[in-house]
Parts: sequence; C-alpha cells; structure tokens
Amino acid sequence: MGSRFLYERILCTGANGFLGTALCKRILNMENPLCHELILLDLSAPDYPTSSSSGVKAIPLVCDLNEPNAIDLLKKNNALAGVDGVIHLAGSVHLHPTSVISQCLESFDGNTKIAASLLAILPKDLEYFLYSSTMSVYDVSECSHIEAGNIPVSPTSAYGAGKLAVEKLLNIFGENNKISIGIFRMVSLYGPGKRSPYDTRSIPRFISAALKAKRLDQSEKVSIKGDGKVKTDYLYIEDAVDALIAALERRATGIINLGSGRGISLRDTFEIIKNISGAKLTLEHQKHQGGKDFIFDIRPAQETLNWKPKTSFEVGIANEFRYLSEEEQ
Amino acid sequence: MKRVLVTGGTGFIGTKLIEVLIRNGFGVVLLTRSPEKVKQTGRLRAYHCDLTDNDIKGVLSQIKNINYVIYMASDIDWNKSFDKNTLLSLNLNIRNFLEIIRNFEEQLEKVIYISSYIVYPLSSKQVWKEILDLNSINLYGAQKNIAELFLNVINHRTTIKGISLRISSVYGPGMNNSLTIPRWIDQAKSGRSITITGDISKEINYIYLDDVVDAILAALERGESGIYNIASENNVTLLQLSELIKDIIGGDVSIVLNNQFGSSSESHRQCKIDITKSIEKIGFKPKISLRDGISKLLKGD
Repeated sequence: MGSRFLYERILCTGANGFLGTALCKRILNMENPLCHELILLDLSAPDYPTSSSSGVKAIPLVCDLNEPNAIDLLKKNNALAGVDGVIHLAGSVHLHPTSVISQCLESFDGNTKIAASLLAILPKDLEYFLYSSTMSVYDVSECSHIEAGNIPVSPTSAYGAGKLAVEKLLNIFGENNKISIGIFRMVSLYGPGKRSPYDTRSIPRFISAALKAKRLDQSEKVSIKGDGKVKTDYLYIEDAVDALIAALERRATGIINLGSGRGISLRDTFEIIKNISGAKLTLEHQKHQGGKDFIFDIRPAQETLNWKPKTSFEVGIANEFRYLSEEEQ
Repeated sequence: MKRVLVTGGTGFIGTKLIEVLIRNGFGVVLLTRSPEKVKQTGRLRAYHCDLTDNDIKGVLSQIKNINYVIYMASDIDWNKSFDKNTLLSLNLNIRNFLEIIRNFEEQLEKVIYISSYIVYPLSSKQVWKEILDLNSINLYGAQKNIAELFLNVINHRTTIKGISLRISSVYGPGMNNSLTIPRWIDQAKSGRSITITGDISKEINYIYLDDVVDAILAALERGESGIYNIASENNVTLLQLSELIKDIIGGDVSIVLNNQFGSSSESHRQCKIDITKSIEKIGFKPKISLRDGISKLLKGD
C-alpha cells in the first residue's frame, strides 16, 4: 500500500506483548509510514528498540489501565490528545489456574474493565479502533469448522467472556461516537518473539523440551491432553501483523475471523519440532475427552483485507525454534 | 434454614421479595447502603455495602453460610457514553456479582441475577427468545448481557446453578410515581385528562410486581440454570394503556396527544418477548392482567 500518514497519532495498548511487539516494530519501520506518532502503552516500557527507520515518533507510555486513577492521570497529562487510531491489544490471557470464578473476575478486570477505562479517555473524534478479540468467543465444543454467519457465539471460558464483553462495549462506543470499529477474532498466534513466563501453549512448550533434550543430551517427554489428533488453527505472527496493518490502512469494520484457515494437530506439531531439532522427544498422552477440530474460514478476512497468510507451518515453527534456541544461548 | 443473600433488597421489587422470602422460610442477608433503614430480625440481617466499590471483600468476610444469591442491585444507566461513572456501574452491575459468588463459592447452590428486557435490541418485529449473544443498544443492556456471559461460563464450568431473569417493565404498589402508569392514574384522577407524549403506538410489556416476585421464587426453588424471560404474554400500546386507565377510573377522562417531542424515547419502546421457556421450565405464568393490576394499584394494595 502506498498511502502515507493515514493517521496522525496511533495508540497501541499491550505494546509490549507478543503481538504488540511485532506490530509496533512493523509500524515504526514501514517504508510508507502509517502515522506520525505511535504511542506504546503497556505496564512497562517497550523492551525493544523504538527507533524508526521512517521517522515515526515512538512515545512509550507506562500505564496500568486497571489502576483506579488511570483515567485521571491520563486525562491530566493529556496523554491521548490527538489520537485518531487505536490498536487495542492489552488484555489478560493468563488467568487463575484453577478457580473458574476467580478467572471470571480476573478476565473482567483485565479485559473488560480496562477497555471501559480506555473508552472513557479516548478522544471522541477518533477515526478507527482496532480490537484484537479471540476465537474463544465461540463455543469451541459445538462446532468444528467455523464459517461466518452460522456460528454459536457462546464463550465457555472466562477469557472468552471477558473478551466478548469488550465487543459489546465497543458496539455502543462505535455507534454513539460514529467511530469505525474493527473486531478481529483471532486464533492462537505463534512464531518468534518473547512470551509471557506463564505461557503454557504447546508450541513453545514442545520447543523448550526439545532444547532441553539437546542441551542435556537425553530424552525428554512432553505430555499432551488426549490423542493429539484434534486440529487447531494457528496463525503466524508476521501474517497476523500483515492482516492488522491491512485493516488499519483500510479501516476495516465489523467482526472478522482471523486465522490461517489451516488446521494442524498437536501430533503433527510434535513431529515437526522433533524433526527440526533432531532431539530425542517422546509424546505422553494424558486422558482427556477429545475436542473438535477448530479451523476458521478465512475467506471473508482475505476479501476484506486483500490479505493472505504467507507462512507455512513448517517455516513458522522453524523460525520460532531458531528464536528460542538463540534466546537460550 | 436456607440463607439467601440479596442485593438491591430495599428497592421497589426487593422490598416485596424479601417479605415473601421470609414468609417462605428463608433467612435473608441484605447488602444495602442504608442498613439502618432495615428492621432486622432473626430472619433478616442487613450489612452496609456499597456495590459500586472496587473492593467489598471486607463486608463479605463477615457473612457466613449463604446458599443462594439474588442479585437485584443495578445501576440503570441509559447512557451510551463512557466516563468514570461507567466503571462504578460496571462494579455494581457485574463485578461485585462475581465477587459475591467467589466469596461464597463453596456453599453456593444457586445464584439468580436480575437482568432486564433492555438487553434486547430495539425491534418491533422480532419476538425475542433467551439468546445469549446480543447487541444491546445502551450501557445498561450491555452490562446486563455481559453479566450473563460470565454466568454462562460459571454454568458450564462449575456446579453452581446460575439463572438470569430478563424482566420486562414492572409496575405495582411502591413503584416510582414519575413513571407512566402512576403518572397517568394521577392525571386522570386529578385533572380528568391523560397526556400522551410522543408516539401513541409505541409498545410496552408490563408485568405486575407479584408476578415477578413469584417468578423469582419459582426460579429459586425449581429453576435449572440458564436465562429466562419474565414478562407478560402481550405488549400494550401507549394508546391502549391510556384507554384502559380511562376505562378503569370511569367518568369522562379525555386523552390528549402531545407529539411535540417527535419520535418516542427509545428506552420505552419495546420488543416482543417470548415467555414459552419460563412457562415450561419454571412453571411461570403471569396471573394478574393489566386491568386487574391497575385496579389493585388504584386501591393501593
């Protein structure tokens, strides 16, 4: 795309997270910059270089939106004045390990309430609001191949409920202020980049086990729930960034399911990592009721965004493996 | 004795509900901003609690042995714009409901959340069944719907039975006198005329207080988890309502149409509500017709 400076000031929340890091780095280094200024909001300052090859001014903003005085503070400092584009990625993924009701509270505070705080301080003449929602808003147990239009929206996890709640608030905010809202319900992302220490996702877990096996020159076991044959849609981080940049350029509105459109099983993931690493890995199956395949139909996203995922699973995993092995050194 | 924790218990519906709960053998624990106004007995205890607070754990820690929760407290926020008060109403409408459930998680059998027909988007054509995922048009409806989303998770993943009752417009003795029915009764009695402001064809679904209290009790005693519509079988238009009041009061009462405000205020427009599920699953059946209800209101009982 050739359009330059579609926005004056973009605010990105969760700028220090897995997706936020990749997306902000991209925005700072696009040949044709999207914006003049990029505000990087998170609980801590960005831990990556925020210099821009194209002269975009990076403004780190350390702020906990869940603090009772966050609204007052941001208002007082006029920190968000002139913001005309928002990328809202901040949220709580890693919730209480056992209590469902504690998870509900954490997801409400960490996803829903922070969004309400943000909406209370944003300028009302905002042009575009992009929200990264989740596939967990769907009742995953109910359906296997998700197609637009016939999907039961009924989250069965606290995370899904808290994220869907934000969509409800955004509907009202967008309608009331005539702001274009793009809601992206995303599958799990993978690829190189730092992860939260609480992350228990399979791909980094398998890679860590492989690296450990190599390091200690021994065999490692990785356990999975069930037979590992259920296929899940994963999207490569840079492909996700491509999609969101396209969304910002087009001001894509509505609800868009974002995935790779392909499913891969844990068993296949395991085999790929075993092959790439050459580590001695064995798979251990824990008893678990089998879920169903979950693969997004991404044709609507492809059409709306004129985008397609480019990275094969083999290449994507290899990149993540390389990143994590370099991290370890 | 089973103990019920009730919030919003000093309001119009709550006052009646508590009376009925005690009569039916329940012990009631009330969270209220003004416990001094409550006459406490062996069966009724009141604790001071402001449910807009960020942290209510202190007061909850003083309360033991709760089997049921009826969460009626609600902040009727017709706003569409977000500000600092939105955060307080999120505490009141959603967060502290969850906080109470967490606090009594181990003993709780059932929780009842008092939701509202306002969750339904405005539409005069559609007849609404108890769908979970809705696009409410104001913050009040959205917040009620969000609480239902979390309740749905609790129902899927815990042994607590969560029920949400989507209640239509409640009328009866003790209601706010500025609302349509008491205002028109007053106009008809004192001035011999009723003034309809706005669209005379806009519809409202009215349900009498006693029917609502019966429904809450039925849900408490035999309701399975899920969402239930609590409403009358039929809507009434403003014109029909004014004619009904005129007819009940008798004599010559004139009906004056005042269209100067143009289209109806959306908070009063109403969709059609399907109550089949409530009839079948909890044996709910509205007993008091609008004519009988208004007559009762006139007699003051």
